[in-house]
Amino acid sequence: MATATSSTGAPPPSLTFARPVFAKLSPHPYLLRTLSPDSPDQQPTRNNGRSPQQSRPIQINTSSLSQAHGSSLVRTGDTTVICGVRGELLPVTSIPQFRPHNGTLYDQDEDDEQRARKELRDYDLLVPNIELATGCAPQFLPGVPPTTLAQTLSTRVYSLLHGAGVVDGRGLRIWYTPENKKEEGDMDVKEEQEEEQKPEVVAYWVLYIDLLFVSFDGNPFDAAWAAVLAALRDTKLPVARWDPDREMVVCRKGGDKGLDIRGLPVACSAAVFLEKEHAEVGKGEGNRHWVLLDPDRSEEGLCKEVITVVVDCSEEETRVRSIEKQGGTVLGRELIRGFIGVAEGRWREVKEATGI
Amino acid sequence: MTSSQQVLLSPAELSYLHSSLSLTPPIRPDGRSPTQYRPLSAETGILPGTNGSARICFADGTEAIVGVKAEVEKTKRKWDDDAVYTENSHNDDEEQQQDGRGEASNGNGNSDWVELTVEIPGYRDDDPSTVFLAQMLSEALLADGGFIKKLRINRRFHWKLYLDILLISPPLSYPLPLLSLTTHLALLATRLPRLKSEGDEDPFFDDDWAAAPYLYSRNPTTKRIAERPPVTLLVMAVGGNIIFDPSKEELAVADVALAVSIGDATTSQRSQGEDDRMDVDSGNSGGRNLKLLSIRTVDPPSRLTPPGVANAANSAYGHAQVVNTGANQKMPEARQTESEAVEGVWKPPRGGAKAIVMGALVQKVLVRGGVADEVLDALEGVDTS
Amino acid sequence: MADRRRINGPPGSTIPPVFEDDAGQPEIMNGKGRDRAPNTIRKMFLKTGVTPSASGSAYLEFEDSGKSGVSGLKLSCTVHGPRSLPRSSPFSPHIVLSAHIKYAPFATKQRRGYLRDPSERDLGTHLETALRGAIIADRWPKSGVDIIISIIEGDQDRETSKSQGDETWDMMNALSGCITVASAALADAGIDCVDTVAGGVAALVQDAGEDSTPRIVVDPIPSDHEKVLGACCIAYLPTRDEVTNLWFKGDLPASDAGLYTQLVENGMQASRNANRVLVECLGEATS
Repeated sequence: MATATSSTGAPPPSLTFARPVFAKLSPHPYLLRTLSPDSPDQQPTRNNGRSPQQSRPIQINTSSLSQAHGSSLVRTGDTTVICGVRGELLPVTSIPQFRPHNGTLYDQDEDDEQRARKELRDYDLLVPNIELATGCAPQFLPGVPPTTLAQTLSTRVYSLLHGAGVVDGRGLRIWYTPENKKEEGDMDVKEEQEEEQKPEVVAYWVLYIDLLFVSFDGNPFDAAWAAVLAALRDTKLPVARWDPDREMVVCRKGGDKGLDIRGLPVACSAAVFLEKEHAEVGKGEGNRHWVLLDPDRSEEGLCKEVITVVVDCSEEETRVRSIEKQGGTVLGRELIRGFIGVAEGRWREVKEATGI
Repeated sequence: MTSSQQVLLSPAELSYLHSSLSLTPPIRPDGRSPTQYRPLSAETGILPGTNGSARICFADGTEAIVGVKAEVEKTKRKWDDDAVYTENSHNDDEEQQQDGRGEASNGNGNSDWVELTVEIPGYRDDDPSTVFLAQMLSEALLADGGFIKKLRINRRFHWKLYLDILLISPPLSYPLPLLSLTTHLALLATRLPRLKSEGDEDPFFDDDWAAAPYLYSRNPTTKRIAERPPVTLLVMAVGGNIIFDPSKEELAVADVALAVSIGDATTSQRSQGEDDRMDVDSGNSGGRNLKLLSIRTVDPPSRLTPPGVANAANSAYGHAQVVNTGANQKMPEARQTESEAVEGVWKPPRGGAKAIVMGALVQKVLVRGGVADEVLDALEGVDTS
Repeated sequence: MADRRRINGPPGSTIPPVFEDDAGQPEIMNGKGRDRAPNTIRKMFLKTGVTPSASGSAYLEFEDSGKSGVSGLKLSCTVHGPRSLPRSSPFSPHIVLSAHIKYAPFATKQRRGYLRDPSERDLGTHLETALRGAIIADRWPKSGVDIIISIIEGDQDRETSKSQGDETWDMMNALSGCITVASAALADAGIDCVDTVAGGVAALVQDAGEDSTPRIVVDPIPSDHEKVLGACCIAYLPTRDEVTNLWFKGDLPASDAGLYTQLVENGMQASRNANRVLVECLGEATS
């Protein structure tokens, strides 16, 4: 028998692996085992040592880059992203379908705010781009066009920037009031002129928001969004005015002004891990699932269903800015509602890291 | 890579080539002396639609043409120019001077005035080697600050020069020397229409081509070209020998290869106040005043050649018992064969080159009356008018 | 043609801000000048292992020069490999090295695009040359290694918006940093090299007018000096005393050969200093 022969010769190589080797060879069963421990008093944990509802601590630094107008560096676990915001000027003459509006410099009403939001979108004043091809993970190598993930992330950031109305577009306008060219004349003539000389918008700031992943370990959107927000809060644009003689916008050094950023929307993502990897998910089929908050790269590879909720608790009531869910059918109305509570917890963590 | 394209030589052939090139004097496969260039035939003005053009054909069959086209372009102005102008308008001369100096130091705005493209058959134009060649050639051209100044028309306009460098034969050898020489000739033959307008007004030109002055002006009395564009020479070291204009096979056994760009410094001397006679004198003494413009290390393809296996390490020859003694001994043995140089067994060079060797290469290029002089003299013999 | 895979922004072209104060003080740069001794390089910070999922990685930062708005170089490098070559590629008896250098869009005064421009490709070729000499390539036949460097911040003075033709000299500084950081990342990835290779830059500068005697400084910041006459970037293996890459640019009279030799000597010295930091960092990482 096999046992008899083995006792005389060298012991047969036993098929045991160190934990990390096993985790790499057979990730799904391994994660399943750690999430469903044998004894009930053991807490379910993930491969990375976190509990399912635990996110990685977030660390936010700002103003580390000097060439950009605003910058931030966000680190959550092994995901590191750098964001730089740079303002460039777009004269209205180079906007193809520019429609001057009747608003004035001093309008502070709701209408104007709405109009500013429309301007942001119509004139494309916010330009976020995400670069993953920095070798931040083995699957992202340069020399190829942006991956689907990079394109999706850029678009998601773009739509959330507009959807959540983070940037107040009024701060991006550059006004100019034509000067009274005529000599001081009759009083009644002057009055007429004054009516003509309404301030007008001559140019807009365009914000180029560039994100660069230095290190990638899952959950890119949360980190990217936190970086965008921190960089925007850090952005200070120089004071600009229209120079009628040169017909261009000139900036002055000193007295840079910060942007008006509305609220603090925070993205919170989770992935759903299923007990049976390839099984159809139906109700009552007994396919257990775990919602893993802030998934890392290996977990993202094992999960099909991903949810991202953007919440803002800076006002009294929690506001949900966006909910995005892809793949799978596990998360229903109840679970999503519960998840918003988790996101509120994440919001407080990020707020603390932002330092406000 | 053009410089490191696959050389179809066996390790034994490489070893033979290396040792014959290391002899004193070296024996080159084509019988040239170490400083001898490949024979070439050259002509200029072959493309009537260009401002200047040249074609060079090397004896080994590689051939290149270069066309130079010039367009008038509005100079991008700094917005403060006007301010300076109005303030200083009472002292126009001084202002002009300032302007000239400002532009000379402003390398960026000016380097845009020259657009250089290299085309090598079978290679994409964003291939690293093509980019490397183009950057090297334009670097040499721009390092000579005088060149850019020639393109200035007035304060508002300048010439934009397009240099299209085409290798029209397959890249049989590293094309750098060929392309550089052809570019040199094309630039020498380049003429720009004579300016008829004055001052800062919109420029208009004389349509008489015969009256068009050369970009590189000729001495009116001697008809000699007073100044010349830079030339890039390819030089390599094997063993203790320095070899110019290596062929592809020779480059495959190089210890180090450098591309050295040189210019003729005669003009800058004259601008410092020396008259023509001095020039003639220096010409009589058999050498030009050269200046060093740029050096780049060319990645020698020798690093990518297959290594030979010594008989002692070859299992077909009695190395077998070593293999049989077990895996433990095999590893150190492998290490040893890796590091030990065996006579007659080709080993790709590892590491870099001593700074002294590189310095010697550069010295050899720059030496008065040396190869660089010969090349420039030979190019002068080409009829560029 | 617009890149449809990225968000391109407004169709009209945007202009980087122009400052009105620039015109008045063109001489402002001369007042600042260099406060280091001619033969010392800036302090640098080097760290390996910043990207855990890569085979090797390193981050390098040069110290700020103390002036406002002048940043030190910041580089991040990842190394992927050695790994097997794709099936389509031909047999190689050596490791196939590919180096990729990209400036981040926010790294320089002018916003950079996402596609590599010729100067970035050129830097990549230089880096390949510098590293190929250091790597013991025949230990990995049929395999490849990718070295990717992101220049997070370039060595530029934001205050002087006038370009002084600095870009060309900045490239040399960037290259020397790239060589050092790539060498650290290669060591972190465990790829055998004959020695650690580090980059060093030396420049011939003129500080006081056209006629002043030029002097040689190492690790130059172009905006510190009135005029840079020439510079060279050297990749140097200190224990073998060998140079793997030499890049010189400038305008030197051939009659004065000593000047060239001195430049190279100083470049090597700068590289030795950088190497000390490199070795120290690698020693810390392994201990």
